[in-house]
Amino acid sequence: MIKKSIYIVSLVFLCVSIQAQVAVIANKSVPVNQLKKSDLIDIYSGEVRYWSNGDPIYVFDLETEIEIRDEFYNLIGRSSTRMKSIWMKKLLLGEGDPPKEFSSQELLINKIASTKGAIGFVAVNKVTNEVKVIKILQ
Amino acid sequence: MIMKKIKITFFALWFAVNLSAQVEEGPIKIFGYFQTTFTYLNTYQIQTTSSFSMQQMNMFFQKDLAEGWTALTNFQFINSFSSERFWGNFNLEEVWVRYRLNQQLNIKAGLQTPIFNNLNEINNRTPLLPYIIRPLAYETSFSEFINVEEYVPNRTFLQMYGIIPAGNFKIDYALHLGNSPNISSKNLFGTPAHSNQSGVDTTATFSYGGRLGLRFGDIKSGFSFTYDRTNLFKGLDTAIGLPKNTFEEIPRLRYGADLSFHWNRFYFESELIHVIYDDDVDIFDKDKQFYYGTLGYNIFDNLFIFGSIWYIKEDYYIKSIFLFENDVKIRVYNAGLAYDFTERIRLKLHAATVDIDVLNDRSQSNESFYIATAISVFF
Repeated sequence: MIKKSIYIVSLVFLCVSIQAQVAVIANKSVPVNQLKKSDLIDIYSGEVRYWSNGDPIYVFDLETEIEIRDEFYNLIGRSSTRMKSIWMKKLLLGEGDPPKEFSSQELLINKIASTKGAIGFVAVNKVTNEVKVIKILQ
Repeated sequence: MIMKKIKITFFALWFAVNLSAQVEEGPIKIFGYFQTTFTYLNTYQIQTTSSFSMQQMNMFFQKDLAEGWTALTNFQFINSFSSERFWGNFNLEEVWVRYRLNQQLNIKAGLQTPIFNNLNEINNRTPLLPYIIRPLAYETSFSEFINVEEYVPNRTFLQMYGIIPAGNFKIDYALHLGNSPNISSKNLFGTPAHSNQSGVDTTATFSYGGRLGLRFGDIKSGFSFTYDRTNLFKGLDTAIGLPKNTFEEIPRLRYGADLSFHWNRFYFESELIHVIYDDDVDIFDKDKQFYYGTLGYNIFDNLFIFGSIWYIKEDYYIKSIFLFENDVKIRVYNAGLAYDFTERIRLKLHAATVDIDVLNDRSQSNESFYIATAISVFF
């Protein structure tokens, strides 16, 4: 009985942990296999726009209603509100457009898989082998 | 001969087709913002006014012309602009084309706002600011009674800027080149005050400037400067007994420093600007100083409160004569909030006390109180 309880608690804990994990994914053409949090901040705030091989970076995002979005921005150290104000500033200065937003994680994965140089993020349990994982945030 | 013609025609066609194929034009983007205000002002406890105003409206047209190339125009209308009723102003605020090689190197050509301190570049982007009235030296709607262009450079024509990563730090830089402040304007009768075409520089001098900044995470600081030569005080020299042309093309140095950071839910920004006229005329001190500091806090993601102090000191002071014995100090204490209904609609409340000290042969101090509410909309 105790063994069963421990098993159930562990399973619940594992599920909660998995929910909190965010995978940063990219198109298989992207010439990097790992990125630091500071690199992600630079990419998602439009400071870095090209990969090391010169290909443009296509940055994709999820719509605000999707919970994993806030999780991602909190994990890289910038709240989604702060990111919005950074992008509004860039937009009004003519310095760039915010990342394109998708209404579901499945659509985002499909778009990344078909776009050379694309990067995005989804919950770890949504990742498919059409894309490559370049960081797990937790 | 015919073959040669065909070859030339074919080459011309091939060139034209390839040229157009290389140009990846994006759609034209049209966007803008406006801020409409209600202001209550009690001046020196003598006069009270309350007024609605369309404080500012800007319209942008932006187009990506090709890979790395972008053009933008920005039209600005302020103070309920109406040419029929002689209200407010209409400005061609920015018209530029930019080439972006990479993060480290951007080049902009055309009419544009130079990068100077933290606020100059965004000072007229009202949706980005919690203020209704901006820190004094940046408040364009005050330009009818404060010469804001003496403090900060409003226009330049060629600019190079970028951000250079350096380990955990980033260095940002900007260099700009534009006209001197001596621009030919039309007088009341519609003809240029100078013999030059209106809107062009009347001297052979330029305005040079730049910024060097350092960023670490959410901390940003920097040093900015401009150097130019001005005829702003030309004609005043003989009026105060100095030889004619003493104040012709006086060298002017403006330098500034800025510090801003986000820390958890706190935000802090501050700047100083000093304006120095280098004319070796001790009896007429024209230098100016401006400081401001703002501390804000995000109570919720969509609710921001702030307190801010602004200070201006102008030394229109002639030591040996009585004529212009003015030493003006303006202190403004502000408090306010900004509430975002949506990402694009912001409600603002702003209260301020303005304390103006004018040092003549006897000191005067005037206080006024100001409270305003505004809706700022980005569309």
